[in-house]
Amino acid sequence: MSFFCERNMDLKQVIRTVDDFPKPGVKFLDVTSILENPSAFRKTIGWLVKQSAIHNTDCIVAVDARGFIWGSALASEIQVPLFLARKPGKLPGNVVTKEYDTEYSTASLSMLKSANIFGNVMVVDDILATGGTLNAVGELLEEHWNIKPNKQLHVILACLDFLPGKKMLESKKYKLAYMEVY
Amino acid sequence: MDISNFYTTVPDWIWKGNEASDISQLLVNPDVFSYSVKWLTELTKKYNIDNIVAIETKGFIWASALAFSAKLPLHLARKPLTIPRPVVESRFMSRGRHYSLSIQKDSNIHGNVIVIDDILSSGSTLNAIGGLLKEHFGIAPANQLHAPIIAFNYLQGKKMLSDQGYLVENLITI
Repeated sequence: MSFFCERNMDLKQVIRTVDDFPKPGVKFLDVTSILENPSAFRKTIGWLVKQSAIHNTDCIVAVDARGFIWGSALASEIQVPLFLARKPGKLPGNVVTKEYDTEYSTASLSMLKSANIFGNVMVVDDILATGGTLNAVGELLEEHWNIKPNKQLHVILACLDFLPGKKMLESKKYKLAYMEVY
Repeated sequence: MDISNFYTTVPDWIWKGNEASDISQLLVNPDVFSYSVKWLTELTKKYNIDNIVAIETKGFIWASALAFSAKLPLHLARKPLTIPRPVVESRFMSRGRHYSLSIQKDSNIHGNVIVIDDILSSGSTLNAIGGLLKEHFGIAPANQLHAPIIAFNYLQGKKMLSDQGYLVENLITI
């Protein structure tokens, strides 16, 4: 598909919504449907590349698991170091960990203590709901690598505006960019 | 470019005597990561690949960069209860533990398929996905290229997969 088509593609037509997942009453945004469509995926990466240039990005932090998909493709394209924020017990060696509440439960994320994260950092995930996940990564970056919120650009494909995550992250002075709003 | 030095291990993690694999240095060095993605991209041309299957979680890292580079559809093999649609599932044992991976049932997987993971050890994970691709999507082993970044030679996983007719390529041999 041509660049023209990529640019004009409506991503909301590609992102699938699934009712009652992972629990009854929840409408789940399934962004993995983007991956089956190379033009749609390239559009999302193209947008991320633009955001990374605006932020003058030095490092990328990708959030386990779907954040890895967009974070790593972006890192490969713009040639900056890629760091992983992972679920508990996954990273080998000494880690720093932050617990947080999600839309459905409590969780935690860890990063390697020895990671050399510096400068302007881009944190990549797929969906922004309550903001607990991104806030946990943001706090880890500030507490352990002294990356202030204004040096962190949190990027997501879709922001759920009816949940408090966007407002919460903005109130903490993180930079925020999203492709689609629901 | 020899990038094998960027694969490192962490001794005594999680239990004493275990040497855990650490892929982080392959990711934090942009030249190294790009080199590995370029290697995968060349494989997709060499083997005329039509679709990519990525194994959760670290397979996602290379597979998505490849999907962007090669402009190919990407399908995920995921852990239980993470795919919000009907799935086909494979349960298997690896190093004495039970595992399960699923692929969305109505995925349009066809033609020549490349299966991406970070490490090939005993081969049980890739074999499980190979079985799913064969049984549910009609992809014969000869049309499946299993391409882990790292393969542990001493564990014979590569030989086991090759013996079953799968094509196997890896970038780093340990």
